[in-house]
Amino acid sequence: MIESAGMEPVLSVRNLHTRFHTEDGIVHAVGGVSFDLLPGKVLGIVGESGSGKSVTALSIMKLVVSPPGEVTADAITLEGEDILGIDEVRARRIRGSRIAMVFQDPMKSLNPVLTIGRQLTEALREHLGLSDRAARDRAIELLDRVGIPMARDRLGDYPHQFSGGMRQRVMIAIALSCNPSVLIADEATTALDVTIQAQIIDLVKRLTEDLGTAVIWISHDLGVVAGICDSVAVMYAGRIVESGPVRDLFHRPSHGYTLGLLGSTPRLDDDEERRLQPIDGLPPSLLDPVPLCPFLPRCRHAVGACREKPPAWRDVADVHGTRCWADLTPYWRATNG
Amino acid sequence: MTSRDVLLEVSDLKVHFPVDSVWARLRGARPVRAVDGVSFSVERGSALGLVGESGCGKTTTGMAILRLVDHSSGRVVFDGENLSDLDASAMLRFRRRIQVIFQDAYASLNPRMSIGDGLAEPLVIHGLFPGRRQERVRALLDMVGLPSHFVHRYPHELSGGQLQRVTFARALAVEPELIICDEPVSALDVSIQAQIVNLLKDLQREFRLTYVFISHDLSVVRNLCDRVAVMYLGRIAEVASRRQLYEGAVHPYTKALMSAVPIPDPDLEATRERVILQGDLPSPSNPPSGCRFRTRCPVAVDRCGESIPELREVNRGQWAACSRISEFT
Repeated sequence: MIESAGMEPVLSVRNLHTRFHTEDGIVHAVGGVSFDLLPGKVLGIVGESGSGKSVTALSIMKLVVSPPGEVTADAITLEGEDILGIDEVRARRIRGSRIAMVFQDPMKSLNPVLTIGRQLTEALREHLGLSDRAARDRAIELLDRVGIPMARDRLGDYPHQFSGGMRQRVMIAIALSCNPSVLIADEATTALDVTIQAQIIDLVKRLTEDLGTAVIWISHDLGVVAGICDSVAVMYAGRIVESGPVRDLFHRPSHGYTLGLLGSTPRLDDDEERRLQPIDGLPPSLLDPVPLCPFLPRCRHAVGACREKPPAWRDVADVHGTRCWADLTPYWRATNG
Repeated sequence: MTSRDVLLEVSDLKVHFPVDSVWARLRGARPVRAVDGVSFSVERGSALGLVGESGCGKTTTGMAILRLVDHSSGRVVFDGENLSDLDASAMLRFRRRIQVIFQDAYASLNPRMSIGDGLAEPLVIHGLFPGRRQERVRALLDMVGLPSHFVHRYPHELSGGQLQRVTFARALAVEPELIICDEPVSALDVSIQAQIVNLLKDLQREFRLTYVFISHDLSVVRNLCDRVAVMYLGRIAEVASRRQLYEGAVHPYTKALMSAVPIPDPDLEATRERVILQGDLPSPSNPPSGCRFRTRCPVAVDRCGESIPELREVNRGQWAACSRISEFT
């Protein structure tokens, strides 16, 4: 979907499908996702609950439990190495060292009965083979780098002794401890207050730029994505429906769903008389995927072709593509204020 | 200009939660001053936004208005009547006129009651619409945009947005004048959130409802509220009309808060000045002396620690609590 203009992607995903076998039937959580992540770049994945953004990340990380989960793909390549078919032993070597993840709730990601120091040094000892002493020194350096005051004294503290924002800083320190080439942040600032969110975004931006880490930033918040990402993929019902460079995508939304999302989102700089344009109805069930566009029942811009054939991927601009038959150019100005 | 028709007036409201455990007290634990001197008024038919971050006391303020928590001091005057010293039975009369909706709609509905029974219950309690309750329930569902066959459904069969419509229908059932909305759209996806925000606006216009809209989301508040009060650590930092606040905030906290809110526009995001506040919110059981915000304030000076700044009118209808405010305006 996102063409790598001459550059070798650090992570490449082709035709990823993730299904869950449940009592009610097979849930098609991810239905054919493909993208490239370029070195040092930030790719945003946006979408609402159940759109498959988190499952995509978990599938790449090989964290989908099977059964009931089932992950298939044409290829998942990390730095030129195929990681689709690797076994659990190999996966453990890669997770945390070359590809790391930060989740929404740091309290659930951290072990409540182990000290921060112990959890920070685990990856360093495991992946980098550092001695206890060297790992400890490196841990202090990392905590200091993510902005935790008096880092040396806090190594012996437990997660509950940190505030939510500080815990997320610890998670970021752990994730970046082995200098991975890819960081996946899954709603990493969603649970935080806005002033703390601003601190964490600032921190992630600074550190990943310094280290040259490529980032997949998963979020439901279009504002956050607009601020941090180089390119964006919009997901709906388990599929990428539109993707492109961040500016182009926000200024020239080319899928009915992207346009709907922008129309529903209240803005801090809104005109007072603006009435939000909600998307009618509810997202579809993922039990029986329809062959046609999954957004069709809720789309205000559907054209004849939408009811006849599944939408094919088409380019609307340089590296900006959509899976939508409708021509949305008349609406571009409306979303540009 | 017509005279102001004030429906709700809160003055110097304080809610302190005492430390119950003797041992904790011996260790030096102090009461939590969740709300510590809050005053505002709300005109009939308008919406006041109560915004701030976790722990600023916005929810406790809402609960204190409803008397769902007792206040330590201060007054809550509703339509000329002081609610602060009413007993439970006298308060029941006002419960019909003041309703509440919460963030977690599923948790606010009885899972074993059908939607129809849940909507009829407040009518039974207040003895309203005798003999016409089924009709009323169907009318309520229609008002919030749900089909009438939903009377037979149970909460677990509904989506988050539909559930929030039901809790709103239940609040409307008793024809209230004031509705306290505590983060009613925060748990919803943005496309559904927009549906509910528009519904709240339409119903407000139709029934001339008054809202106290508690939210952490400044963008939603801008869309919905006429006046906005910004809270920080149990006190109001700034209160102003929507236009004044969003186009000319004066308090350093309001400014920092606004600058931290992301805007879905990459060009704007790339050029906006952002004030990154340092550190975390201090504990409300041990707030800083003087101005509550001074420990994180980018423009704090020594004298900010000396006394608690009172709200002062900086422009007509715009009030801010900052001892340096005259230097910024």
